[in-house]
Parts: sequence; C-alpha cells; structure tokens
Amino acid sequence: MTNAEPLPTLLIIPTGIGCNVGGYAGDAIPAARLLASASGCLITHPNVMNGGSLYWPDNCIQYVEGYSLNLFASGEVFLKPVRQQKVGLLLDAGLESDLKKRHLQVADGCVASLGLDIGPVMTTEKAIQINLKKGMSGSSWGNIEEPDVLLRAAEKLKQAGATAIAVVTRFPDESDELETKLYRQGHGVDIIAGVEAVISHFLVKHLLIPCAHAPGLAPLPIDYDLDPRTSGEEIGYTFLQSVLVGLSRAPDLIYKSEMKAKENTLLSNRDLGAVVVPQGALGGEAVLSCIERFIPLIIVSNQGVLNVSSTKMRLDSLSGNRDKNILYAENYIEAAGLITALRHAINVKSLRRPIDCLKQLNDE
Amino acid sequence: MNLEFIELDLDWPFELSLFDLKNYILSKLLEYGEPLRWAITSVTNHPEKNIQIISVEVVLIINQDKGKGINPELN
Repeated sequence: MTNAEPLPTLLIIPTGIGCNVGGYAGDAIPAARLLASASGCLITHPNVMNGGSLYWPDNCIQYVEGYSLNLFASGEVFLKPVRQQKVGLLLDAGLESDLKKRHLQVADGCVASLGLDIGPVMTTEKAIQINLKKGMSGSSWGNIEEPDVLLRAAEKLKQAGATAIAVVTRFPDESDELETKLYRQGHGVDIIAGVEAVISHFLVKHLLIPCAHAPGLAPLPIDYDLDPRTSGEEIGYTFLQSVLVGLSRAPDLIYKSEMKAKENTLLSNRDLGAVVVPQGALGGEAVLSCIERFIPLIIVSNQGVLNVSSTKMRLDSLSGNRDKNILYAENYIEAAGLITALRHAINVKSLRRPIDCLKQLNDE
Repeated sequence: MNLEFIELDLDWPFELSLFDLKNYILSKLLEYGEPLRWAITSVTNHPEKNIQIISVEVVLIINQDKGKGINPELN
C-alpha cells in the first residue's frame, strides 16, 4: 500500500453508558490501537484509554479529556502535541492515610520506572465529597459537594508549574453493591464513571490544561466470576497509573482566541477525517458538533444503555451528503477498514456489492 | 458554586434541523445554569404533535452569586 498522510480520527465511547466495548476497564484500548494504526492519528479520551492498572502509550494517540474534546470538536480549541507534560497530582483530603500513601507510591513508581515528570503534589484543604447518581436512562452521573475546594487546590498546582493535573478523589465505599457486582461481571454500567467525567470536565473548564481522574477506592473482595473486561481494575491498589501515563503525553489545549499566528503543528477540528461513535450514543455534544461540520461519521454497533440512534436523531433521513458522510460498521475491525479506505482515498462504494452503474445527470 | 445533576425533557419540533439541535439544547440548558456535561439520553416520537421529545441529562454549574437556581419540579 502506498504511504498516505494520517487521517486524524476522533474515537468517542461515552463514559458511564455501559458500552459492550469500552464500558469497562480500558477494554476499548485494543480498538483504539487498531484505529490509531489505520488512521495514523487517533484522538480519544480517558474512558477509552484508562485501564486501571493497564495502559498502552501510543505515539499515534492523542489523549484528550471529554470537556476539551467537546471544545476541540466545536472548533473552539486546538490541540498541540507535546513531548511530555509535567503532571501535578491532586489528592482529595478524604483519602485515608494508607490509601493516600498508595497513590503517592504509584506516582513515585511512574517517575522511577517509566520516566514520567510528576509533581507538584497537593492535597485539598478538606474532603470534596462525591455523590453518585444514575439517570433515568441508566447512565451514571454525579456531582461533588465542594467544587470550590477542588478548584482552589488545582489552581495552586497550575501556579506551581503543573501543565496537566491527575486528580484522585475518595469515592464512597457504600455504593450500590448489586450495581458493582453486575459491573464486575460484565453486565452493568460503571456506576462511578459518570462523576469521574464530571470532575475532569470541571477542572478543564476552569484551567484549560489536560486533567483526568482516578477514583480512590478500598480494595474489593475477590470475585470468581470476574469479566476480563474489568480485570484491569483488580490488579493493583490504585487506578492512577493509567491516568498518569495518559496525561504525560496529552496535548496542550490552545483556545482559538489565543492563537497568535497560524501554527502548522496544531490539530484542529478541520483536520478531522472521521469520527467513530457507537450506534445509540449519537446525542453527545462532540458528535453533534461533528455532524454540524459534515465530518464523516462512522457509526459502530456497540450496545450500551442508550438508544439515541441514527434513526431517532434523523440522520437516516438526511439528504444530499448522507452517502458521503455517514458510514456504518458492525464492529471496530470494520471501522478500521473504513478509516483505511478514507485515508487511502478508496471509494467505500467500490468495496461493497452489488455495485451500481454510473448514472448520467441528464438521465434524471 | 454548586454542581447540580438534572434531567429535562425538551420538545424537538420537526422543523428544527439536526444541525441546529446542539445550540437549541444549550440555549434551553442555560435557563437553568451553566452546562458542564450533558447528553441526549433518549428520543421519543410524537407524530400526532409533529414533535419528538428529547431527554437530556446534565450537570450544571450553579453560580450562587448570579442567583440562578433550578426549579425543583424539573429535577
């Protein structure tokens, strides 16, 4: 195959909606690696790349938190790839001393064994207190009681030189036992994932630097029916390592209004050649922004709790550019094939059968 | 500053294009606070009314200084 320029591709698997692929502990990493290989440049978010203790650094993958991903998709923010971020560590005062020490040891280990640049470290002045919630749809959500406390500590980290922030907050142990059991056995929604996204959204909104969250949790008893997709969360004492690795090479976020001159190294939404999103999860902000801009949409069968489908969103009834801009894939292997075709300018219609004869405009 | 999770049902008239839907939703959410994270989580058809109803789940930033609050009936 001839060499082709990368086709920057956005992979979205929304957090906390129980997708069959990507609804668990970094279980969409293989799909992300495949799509990164096919496209040469994949932009995706922590829910896809964080596997608890498991992670996969890939030079072709840009790790972009969800709030900044929304800004990127709408054209408000550009991405500036970097060699390394200086990752500040923000710890919730609600973490018990042993659990806090475990997280500090993970950070030390990432410096000693992976060569990451981590620090400074800051603990909030008091516990920020997490509330877990579940929407009528079955999606996980939540909020925090002390957003100002969290923000003050994060601002201090940024002022002290952190160019990205990993935040660890103490999550309640008394969350629904049945939900947790179902999730660990591969039949439920990650009940804590939604509020994790809320926390990172909140910090990115106010600081505009890469941020991601790891939950501080007491270890769970062993489950002999564990689904392999959740195993990445059973290996160690913390989920921090994948967050630190992801943030260490997350791109800088540059507001459009702060652009002084055209920089060729920046990625913008205009560079996007495709966006890959689960069928049923077409109602997110980034997806709607991409639809507005006619970015080719690859809709993948990947069942979750939502049914916001292409039909319900009236995508199937769009006229004109529909054939060009909306493609369907049964799985991420097929999506990788579509991206390869787009990247190498192979008409997807040429790959399908039956194939129609060309029509003359004046025949119509 | 507070963060609040709410669920809203909004009319989606058939004459409103998909391409204008995001800004329409954002304008509705701004009536309650500053949207931090949101998604359409269901769409139901009501052909007799010539509309669809979209359910939106959202976490809002409520800035108490600005006096914006949430109508509890909408929770």
